[in-house]
Amino acid sequence: MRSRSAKAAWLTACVTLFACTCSIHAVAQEKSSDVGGAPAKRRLTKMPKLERFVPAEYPKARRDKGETASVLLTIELSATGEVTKVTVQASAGADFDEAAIAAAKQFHFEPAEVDNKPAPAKITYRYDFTLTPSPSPSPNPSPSPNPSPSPNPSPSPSPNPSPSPPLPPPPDVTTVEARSTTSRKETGGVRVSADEARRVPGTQGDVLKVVQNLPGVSRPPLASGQLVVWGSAPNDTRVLIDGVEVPALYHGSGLRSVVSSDFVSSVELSPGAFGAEYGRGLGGLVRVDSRNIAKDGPHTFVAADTLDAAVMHARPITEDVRASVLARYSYLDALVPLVSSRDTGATFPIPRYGDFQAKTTFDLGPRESVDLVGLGSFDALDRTVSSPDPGSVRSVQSRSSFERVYARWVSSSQSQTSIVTPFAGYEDSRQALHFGGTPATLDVGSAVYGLRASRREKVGERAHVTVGMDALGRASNVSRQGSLTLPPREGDVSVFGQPPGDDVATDREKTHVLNVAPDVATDIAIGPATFTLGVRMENYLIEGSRQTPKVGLTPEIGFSRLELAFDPRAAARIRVADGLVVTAAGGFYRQAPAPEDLSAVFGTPALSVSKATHASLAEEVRVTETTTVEVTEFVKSLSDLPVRTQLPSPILARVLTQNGEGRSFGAQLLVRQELTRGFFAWLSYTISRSERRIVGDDRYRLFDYDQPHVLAAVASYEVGRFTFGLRFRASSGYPRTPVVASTYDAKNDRYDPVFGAQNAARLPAFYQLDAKIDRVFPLGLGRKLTVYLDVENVTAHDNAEEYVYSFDYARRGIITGLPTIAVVGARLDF
Amino acid sequence: MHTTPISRATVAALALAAIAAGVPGCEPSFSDRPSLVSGPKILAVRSEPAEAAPGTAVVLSALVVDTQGTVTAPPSAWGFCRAPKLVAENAAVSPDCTGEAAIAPIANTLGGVTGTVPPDACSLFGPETASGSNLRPRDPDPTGGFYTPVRLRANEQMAFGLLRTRCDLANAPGDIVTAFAQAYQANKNPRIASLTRVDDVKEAAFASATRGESVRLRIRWADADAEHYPFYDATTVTLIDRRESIRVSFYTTAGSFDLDRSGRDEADPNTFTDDVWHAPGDAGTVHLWFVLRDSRGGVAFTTTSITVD
Repeated sequence: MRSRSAKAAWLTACVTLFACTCSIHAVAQEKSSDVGGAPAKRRLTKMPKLERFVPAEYPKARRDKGETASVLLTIELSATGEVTKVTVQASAGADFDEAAIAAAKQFHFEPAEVDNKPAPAKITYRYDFTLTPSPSPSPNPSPSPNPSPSPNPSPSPSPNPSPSPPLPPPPDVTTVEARSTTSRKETGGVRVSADEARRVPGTQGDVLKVVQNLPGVSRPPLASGQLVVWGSAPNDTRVLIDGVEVPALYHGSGLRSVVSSDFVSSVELSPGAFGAEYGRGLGGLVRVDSRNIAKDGPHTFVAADTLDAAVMHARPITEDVRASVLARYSYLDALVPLVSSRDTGATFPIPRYGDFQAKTTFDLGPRESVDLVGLGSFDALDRTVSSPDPGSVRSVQSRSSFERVYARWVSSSQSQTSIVTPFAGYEDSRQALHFGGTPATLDVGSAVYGLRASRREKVGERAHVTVGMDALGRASNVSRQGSLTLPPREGDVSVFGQPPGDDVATDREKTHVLNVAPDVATDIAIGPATFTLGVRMENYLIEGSRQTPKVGLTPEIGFSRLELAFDPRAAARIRVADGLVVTAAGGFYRQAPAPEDLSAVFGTPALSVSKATHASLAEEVRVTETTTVEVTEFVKSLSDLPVRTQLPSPILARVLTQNGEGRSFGAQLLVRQELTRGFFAWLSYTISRSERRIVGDDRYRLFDYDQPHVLAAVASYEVGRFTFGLRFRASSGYPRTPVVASTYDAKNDRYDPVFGAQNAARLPAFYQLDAKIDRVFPLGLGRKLTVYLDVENVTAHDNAEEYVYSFDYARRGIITGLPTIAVVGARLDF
Repeated sequence: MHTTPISRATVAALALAAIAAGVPGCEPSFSDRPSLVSGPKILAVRSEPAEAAPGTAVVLSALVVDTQGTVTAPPSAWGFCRAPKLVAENAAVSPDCTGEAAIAPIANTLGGVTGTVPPDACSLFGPETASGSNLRPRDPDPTGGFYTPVRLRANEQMAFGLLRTRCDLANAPGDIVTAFAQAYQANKNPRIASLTRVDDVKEAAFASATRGESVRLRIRWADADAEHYPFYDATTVTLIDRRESIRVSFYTTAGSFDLDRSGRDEADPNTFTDDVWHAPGDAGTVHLWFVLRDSRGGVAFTTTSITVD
């Protein structure tokens, strides 16, 4: 038990994040700032276009009297073209108004585009109720793809309502909000704008950390930035920035995301069953859209806090060219020794990280632009536990980094949108661990290149076709030495802190995995339903330098093979009733083996791709104009997963086998109040079960990351210049394998645990309440200062993070998580 | 279990570190100490010679203790375990070795315990694979060695000794194999040269202590006991000269040691290690044991009983 005095000390522990700023003078940029959190005015490059028209119910009394009318509506549209809100600008009477609103809510539009990217929009629409003498009226008039305005519709009498085509929104009444997004929302995905995400308590304003609170996502273990989505392994979820794959969403400690919040426009999580444009992962998909750069003036931002320092500058260079650059570097490892004993850094690993993003946008025309982007990230962690006993010395040295450069060409017109993104980069990961005399090093350096391209075109009145190409090549140099059991794999049975096996090996290899996947998908609207059918043609080229272990100086014998497959994807979205939409989606997915798993010594060069099948069914109810309730049921099955051999004497170069299979199923609930008048909130809850087994096993076991219950409730409210926020999280503990006895290893003078049934125990449940308050201080001349207090674990609940055992495994204790931590920070925008 | 008190400044520092690294906020500290003998224990298992080829005889012995001192000739059962562990097993031996099905008993005679290293030890636990089997050779330990598990049951305790087994070098060019065979000397058990108490810089015999006294103890071994041996580096495909590291484990029936274990790594030329023993507050006889291990499986141990006045 934690002593009372120590607990009190923990409770008083307060970490202050302070921001010091310097300014580069810029006047009156607050409103137009793209990085300061304020909405930015942007250029509308494409009008929203009515795709689905629904006739209004003509009020009977009015029709009987032969009365006609026009109702002027304000229709708010989402970035996908759905109607999110309808209000009356100019009334024609309650009955006409109600009928027009009811009809307009069922419209569907081709979305507006801002700076050539799909964006939410607000339009003015006049609904005309006219009576015509036509004996054969059209009961379901087709909307014009490019409707002509009818400012003075002829009041020709008609027995049925025949509304006039919509007024195209004149530019002066079209408002496009700053929360613009660039990519189409995936079926079942949850998208959060940066403006919402930065208000979530417990994230220190890090926009991308909000993903950990979305439905379908398990609470990550402390000290990790892992994403466990719908029961998939952390490495099975892909992270894309502007469509370009990056190796991680968070820095290694999970403390920060790998890109600055000021680089992000929105983030979307698709936990599964996503469309044909994406692949290479058995798990979910996290898509990050970068912000547009404001055109109307320079903006500079410099900040520093306890953890890191950041700098940003954005400005238009010419009329058609604008650029921004952001950089961040941590210095906590240098700061801690100033306030603590010298060995603190040796006892507690203090990470060092940094990242940068640079973006230049070239406007090539009114609907055509090119973004040139470079971004990178690094992590470093050193930890040494010294001991006079050479068998007890432990050290960890971890280095990882990645860089990406890409060009993103976007061209759109009334009928099509084309995006082409070639990219290249490098990833480097170096892990060096020593447990006594047992080493475990793994170095993987990969050159990455690829192309993502898509063209979405309207075909006829009710269909779109999207044709794309998604290619990614990864040429890796892998060097590994030491115990086979490090790094650990899912399914390994061990306890926290257990030394690895002391059988050691060594290997160096080169691998090349190229995935070229053309895809095609069609959206077809039939009545209230939209069907999306797609197929992804997977082509995997898997090559390696060694198919057997190195023996002396024998020459390498490599391998190369090609695997082809077609992965169908389908989705159906049906508006069952007013405000109720049901969506079903599913598909087949594949994932290439990791480069280190193709080792002839530590893995299996013959590994093929792993497979998954996803299916989901979602019901979305719009309760109010800004409140939705969405329930999603899901099921995943996994096959051909690489697992460790179950043989004491495996065949040469077959340490891993593809005998793993798994399944996960469950349901999630999302109640969401969109950001309205300064208030937003959501409640997410996921109930699920995820299991694995070796082919041939009678029973499944629990997945190492299985978390049956995950709850997150978030609320934020803006009152004047204050914003208050609360976040509550609760979740089941991860499964653990109980220790039932131990044996004494007299050679190494240590005890080894004897385990019970795998994953038959579970860590205690977790819950935590976080709170945040911030205040904005306008400083004039377009500058503002935001000060915030973010308190994690307000109730100081002792959350169990891990089991730990005494030296002979006779007793078990619990490692608890962080106590109450108060973080104070400040931010200056100008 | 208790939590060590820490200063406010340290708390703040650790909180900083905890935030950044995500490390746990509170790790329990168990009062159990490996160096405290509070009941029956097996402290060491020794083979003579320390390294043997398959089919050769070895003499096995063990250090079995309880709170009354060393247990001489305890009822015991010895056996070779014939179950190899999985390639990715963290433990030293297969879990099957705890059962009887995988054990080949070793006769326990009046003259001691003499066993014969299983002839197939290098294929069960070493790099040998049957011709044409295309099986993966086993990996050596960090010193290049392979080990045959020896199980001992005594005084209701179970322990595993790992008998270093002389096997051929695997996956190396022929000239390296030849050079290795010529240069390699089988491991020898080390010896404890002396156990002394250190007062300032003067070493003296350790025969007594007063209640509550803190005594610096020094264990010495001969320089030759940290043997040099050739090691095949598969990365560079060369033989390199390495030296054994030495570890010493400390045990007592009363009082406490500062360190449960100490030693010297292979780069450290010193041939001694120190520990501080804190005598108990009560007078009486205290039994202490010192087990010295080299990194290739060699073992030596000694015991002393002193009177605390």
